[in-house]
Amino acid sequence: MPASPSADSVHGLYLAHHGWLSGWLRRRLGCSQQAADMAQDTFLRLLCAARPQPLEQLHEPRHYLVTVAKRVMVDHFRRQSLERAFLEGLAQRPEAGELSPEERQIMLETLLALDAMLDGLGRRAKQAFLLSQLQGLKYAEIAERLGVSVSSVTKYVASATEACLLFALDAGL
Amino acid sequence: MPADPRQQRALLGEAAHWYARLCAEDAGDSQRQAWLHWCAQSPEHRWAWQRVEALQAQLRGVSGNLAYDTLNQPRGLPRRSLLKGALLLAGSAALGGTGYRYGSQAAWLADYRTGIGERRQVRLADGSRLTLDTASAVDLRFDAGQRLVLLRKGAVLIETAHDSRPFLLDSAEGRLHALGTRFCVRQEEGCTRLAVLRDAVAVQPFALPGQQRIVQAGQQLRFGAAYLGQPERAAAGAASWADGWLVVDAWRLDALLAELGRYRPGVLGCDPAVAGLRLSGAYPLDEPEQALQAVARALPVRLRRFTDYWVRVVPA
Repeated sequence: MPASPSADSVHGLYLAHHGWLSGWLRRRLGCSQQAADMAQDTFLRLLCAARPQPLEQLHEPRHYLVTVAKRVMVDHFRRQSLERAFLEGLAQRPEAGELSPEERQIMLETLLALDAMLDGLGRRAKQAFLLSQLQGLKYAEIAERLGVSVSSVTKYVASATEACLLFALDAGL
Repeated sequence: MPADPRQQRALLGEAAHWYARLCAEDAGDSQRQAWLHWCAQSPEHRWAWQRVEALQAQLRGVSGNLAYDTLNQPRGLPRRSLLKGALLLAGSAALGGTGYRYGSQAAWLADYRTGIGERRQVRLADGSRLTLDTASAVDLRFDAGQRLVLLRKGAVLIETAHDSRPFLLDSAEGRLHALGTRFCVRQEEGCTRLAVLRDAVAVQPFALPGQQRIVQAGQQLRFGAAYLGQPERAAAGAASWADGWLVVDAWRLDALLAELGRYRPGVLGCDPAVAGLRLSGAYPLDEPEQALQAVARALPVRLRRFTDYWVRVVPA
């Protein structure tokens, strides 16, 4: 298991490149507040991540920071769009008014987690899994919709379930 | 949990495949048997399955169209089915089968039963041992394919013998599937209580198709036909009744008296002023009178008798 970087090495990177990274993000986002937040998130991610190579030995620290910052941006927008879809969905459903704010928050967090778990799966595997597990469709119905065999649906559900289980394991959930 | 990370990942892969097969609408008994066999193989297998159950619980929390549409954006498929909550192992309703209806007269006709204050040990045809608690009744349905115990009322302690046929127990609320094991089950008003002493038992409430839970040694769980509690640490004396003792730890007096009352005919109650007093100890079930005397010595209370059968515990 690779060790987490020491707080010291992240601190060094922070002092040397934080201003530069914030500028880079600001030029792309056009908003200094958002840029500052994402720069913080980028360094936070460095602190939390396990890495095969010590940060001190980075060949191109700025290149590396930009790679991480891009991921942070992607995740951020992904989260934002999922949150927006969730809120729009809520607004369209009068029965959802019965949910308490806490219940909504828990539901949103669960959906974000599932979204992350299913990320990287093929489109069909994800569809098959969601149709089976969230919509309660039978495998035969899913097979018909996706134009595949029932045994493929079984394989899709298995691989999506495995992806979720491994994601949860790796995330220490 | 397996120590080796590679084994962890491999077992999660196996568990995922079982899950996908059991979710199929045509999953049959033979597949469920095979799955249970897989679960019974080792604690590591059960660890993997518990991770599946955790995922299942998470999915259940968000099931339905809202979650589906949210996760499926931006391309929303046309919605059709509205099977909220009917997800997962949906075909496995058959595992529970049809629930038995438990008329109180059924207990009088049962294969084995005990009266109030009586305990009885029975050696079953397959070598399994069954201990009936006070005022309990069971029926047996053993055939070539299964060993099924029907708990009509009261409580039983079961030690299963090894046999190729599955060992099942039905209460009014659900079905238990013994995974090579020693466990106690008690039929209460509207719910069933299970405590597992060795190995593990799978629980399947009748009205919750697809919601199995595996209860491990040292755990207990309460379930109804339509709800499934969380496994918690089993009480220390969960099965001590089988040895003739009621072992309690910081119980309220009213709860202790209710429990003792199961072992003696008549009315046993207490004054509300002392109901909340707590006590710990071991009480002989074959001598309820002695047990009551012990209570009277341990607390500032005295026994007030209206008749031999009607006793009330009041402040001293």
